[in-house]
Amino acid sequence: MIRDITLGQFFPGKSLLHRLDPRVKLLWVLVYIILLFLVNTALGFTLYVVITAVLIKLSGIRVKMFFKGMRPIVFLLVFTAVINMFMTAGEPIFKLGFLSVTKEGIRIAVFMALRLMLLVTGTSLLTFTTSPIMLTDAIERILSPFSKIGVPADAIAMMMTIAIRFIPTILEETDKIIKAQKARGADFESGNILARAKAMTPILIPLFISAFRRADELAVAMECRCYHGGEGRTRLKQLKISKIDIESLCFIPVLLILVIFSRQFSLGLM
Amino acid sequence: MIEVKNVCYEYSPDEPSLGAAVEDINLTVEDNHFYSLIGHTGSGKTTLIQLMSGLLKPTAGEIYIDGINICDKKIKTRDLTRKIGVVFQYPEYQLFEDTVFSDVAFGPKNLGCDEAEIKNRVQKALKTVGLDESYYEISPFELSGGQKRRVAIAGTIAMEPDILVLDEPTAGLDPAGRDEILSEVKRLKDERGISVIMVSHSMEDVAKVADRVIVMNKGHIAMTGTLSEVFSKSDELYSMGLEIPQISKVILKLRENNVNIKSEIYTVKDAVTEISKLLKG
Ligand SMILES: Nc1ncnc2c1ncn2[C@@H]1O[C@H](COP(=O)(O)OP(=O)(O)OP(=O)(O)O)[C@@H](O)[C@H]1O
Ligand SMILES: [Mg+2]
Repeated sequence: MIRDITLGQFFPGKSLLHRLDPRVKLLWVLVYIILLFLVNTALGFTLYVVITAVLIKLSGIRVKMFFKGMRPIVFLLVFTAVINMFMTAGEPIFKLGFLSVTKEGIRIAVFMALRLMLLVTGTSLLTFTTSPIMLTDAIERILSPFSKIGVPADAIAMMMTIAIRFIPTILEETDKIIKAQKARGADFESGNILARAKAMTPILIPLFISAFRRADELAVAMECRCYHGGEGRTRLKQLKISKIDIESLCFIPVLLILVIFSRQFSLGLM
Repeated sequence: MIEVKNVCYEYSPDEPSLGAAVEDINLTVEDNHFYSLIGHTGSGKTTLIQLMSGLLKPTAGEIYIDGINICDKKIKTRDLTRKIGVVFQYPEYQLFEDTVFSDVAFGPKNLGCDEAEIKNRVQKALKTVGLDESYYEISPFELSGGQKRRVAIAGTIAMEPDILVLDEPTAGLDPAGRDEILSEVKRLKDERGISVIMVSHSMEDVAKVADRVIVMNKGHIAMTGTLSEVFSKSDELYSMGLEIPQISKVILKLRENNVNIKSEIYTVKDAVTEISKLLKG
């Protein structure tokens, strides 16, 4: 159901990953993603899976939560895998009617699926171990040099904080409204696409109204507490780069070298 | 009639540490009674009524409404709405149509009533909650909080269910509005012979309208019985963070001071009659 969405979920903890500076983690995720797209051999993927598994172990978060995060992309996974399998030109292995499965197709399909799964797991590692506040703080700090050329870094960070903060609230609200309308006999499951889209109005209108109302109330509450943008605002928690951050950054070149190295090693076709 | 048998519900079965929201629920809701469901905040009242109305499926156990097992996958929530109608906590947030009339008509329309029947039902329902014809064409968003609440309650009443469930219908209303809604609901129950289940935190309200009381505590049913059966166990209620009506406390004090007055008095009205009887006699 709607509650299965793990986006933006954070599991408090004291693991190594929790303690890293969010800016360092952000950089790491960026590197992780870029290098993931450079990986193109079985060796490279094995390497990536092992590293990711170690990181999951280090984070102290149950593996189950990572699989849960994968649920929304199952369709995408299957879809891309099937398309890749059939639509890639190459040496056919077997035929299904006019469609043929090629060796290259299977290879690309498997790699693509792995890539997507690793992508989700990698980003989940960041969001699971970093509180949304820390994350937006990091983004603000990274963007702050650009504020000289007119990028409103603090406003962007505040907007993101608020947006993330309200995801669970809005989900809960949606759940409530769906139940209330169901209790009035609303039917969201039957009918064609047009009828179903129309059936969404009893959910969307109250949802929008309450979202606007909340935004309004929040704005008033913030003004009452003298919020006037980021200028001169100090923080409760200062971000500081510590020894483990430096150490972890040293692994970036190591990963880079390993990935480049793995590209030279294609075992047969794989 | 609703029969709840050994029902359990967990919001997050993946995380057993959070425990069940309700557990071991056994309950029979008979026809033509006014039930009141009371319990401390978080005791599982809302969860229980969502289970009874088929909006949540129990993790264990069964629920029958008029002999039909509502946990059966084939039963749609929509078909249940004829039998059981729920008004949620703060129902004013479910309004969405552009006029009061069409918002109340949403339920009957979903039941497949024809034009004339819809009109008839909407008129009756709005009259029950005390809104006259001048409100029909007004946008529900222009109304005050209390008026919105009435429109939302009318929306469920218009579906004419056999069992009407109200989750804290009077929270945040002014005293006069509260009494009005309570007495209208009570009249509706007497007129149509339906059952009402009302969640409430006000023991005064409970005493005014209910004849049966269900007490929940920490996800379990702690007590059920008639009004006097439950209110006579004031010590147990205190231990669950609940109270008896203020006036009953006064009566108890009077009895402690050797005033010869009967103990089963839960409303100010009854107290007035009894005390004046005492003074005369
Ligand atoms: N949507 C939900 N997701 C997870 N847990 C929930 C949810 N709704 C309720 N709970 C939990 O279930 C328990 C019972 O909640 P419920 O809403 O049924 O209480 P209640 O008796 O209606 O309280 P109140 O008087 O405050 O309305 C609580 O401990 C609550 O934390
Ligand atoms: Mg409740």
